[in-house]
Amino acid sequence: MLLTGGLLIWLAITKDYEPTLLLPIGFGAILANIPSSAAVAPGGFLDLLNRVGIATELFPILIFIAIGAMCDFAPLLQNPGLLLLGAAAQFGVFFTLVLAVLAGFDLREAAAIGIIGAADGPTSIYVATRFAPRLLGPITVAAYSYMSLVPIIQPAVVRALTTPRERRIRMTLDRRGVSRTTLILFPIVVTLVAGLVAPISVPLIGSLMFGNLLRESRVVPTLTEAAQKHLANLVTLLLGITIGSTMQAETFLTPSTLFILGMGLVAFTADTAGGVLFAKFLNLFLRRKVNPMIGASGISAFPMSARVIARLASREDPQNYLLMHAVAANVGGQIASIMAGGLILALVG
Amino acid sequence: MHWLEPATLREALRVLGLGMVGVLATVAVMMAGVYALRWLFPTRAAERREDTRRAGEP
Repeated sequence: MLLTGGLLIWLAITKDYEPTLLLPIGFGAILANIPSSAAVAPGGFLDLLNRVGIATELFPILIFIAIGAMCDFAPLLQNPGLLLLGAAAQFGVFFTLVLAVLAGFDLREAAAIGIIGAADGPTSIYVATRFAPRLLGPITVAAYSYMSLVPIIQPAVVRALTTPRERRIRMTLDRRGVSRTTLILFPIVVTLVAGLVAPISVPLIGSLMFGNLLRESRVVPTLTEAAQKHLANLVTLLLGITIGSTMQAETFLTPSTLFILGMGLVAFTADTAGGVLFAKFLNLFLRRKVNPMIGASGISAFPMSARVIARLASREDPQNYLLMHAVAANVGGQIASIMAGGLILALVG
Repeated sequence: MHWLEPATLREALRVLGLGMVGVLATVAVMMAGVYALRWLFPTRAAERREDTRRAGEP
């Protein structure tokens, strides 16, 4: 496990794979696996952080406030139909859950593994804490590792499922803009809808939307900045080192960990396929066609997925600017991934 | 991990079906809400000018 910790630190430093998370996770794993380490003994500082921040689900919730304060939903509000692509790109969550059940995991553990497909670290941590605390370490490492592999996974899947002609479809921008009132009411409406459908998702969606309300209100710039910078950095640091401390040899060095890492790849691939195929399905009925590639950016890995898809589009046709559409689908994926997490909690709980 | 029971697989397939339908239906309601908000609170000319200025367009 000391080597695993070292490997994560190496990946963070030399390969730049999600360094803000993998570096603290790697060091946390080292601290936890030193024989008789007082850091993870009852009352040790990592044990304390685990009980206060992970077992209570507080850290993922605080991270969501920070993400909400960073998110600009305006591109999505200009093209609300793209929310559907965010929903379709959650297919990997449920598909992976079924595969994990077929592999012999019980339903709660399978749900925790499937949620890697949400491509959303805090949601994965939140669900895994509830359903499979013993798998929290591998699930978190898989969720964050595959997020950094989006530029490798998505182009291959997109190319396999689309024709060059489809990849060159151009989309026009709605230039009417979005009123400030709409931007302010949006987080409140989303919280109410999500809360009524799955009350168990309220902590997740509510904290994301609270952060966004801070941002869009424009009356609390210091709070917004605190959420975007200080809260995000501080909680990420504590979250990473605490997750690392849960990676102890007896629970991490098992065949389950390898299976979970493999399922992460399946989940991200199925998400991408779900989004692209759903966009192609919508095109059967739409007069103004959607470029099916933006279905892939319906996953929650923001903003990496949007950038990857926009780059792919400009490679096919240098005059095709899909970035804003891809960003819209991408932030739609943020909302949909939390909904997927909430529904998993409601349906499996 | 343990042997697969048919009831567990049925439950997983139920979660797959209800989960996907649930996510799609929920975002469809949110989408309708956004269209309603945009209709109720259209962008004013001053806001459009501000958006244009922010986007750095002439």
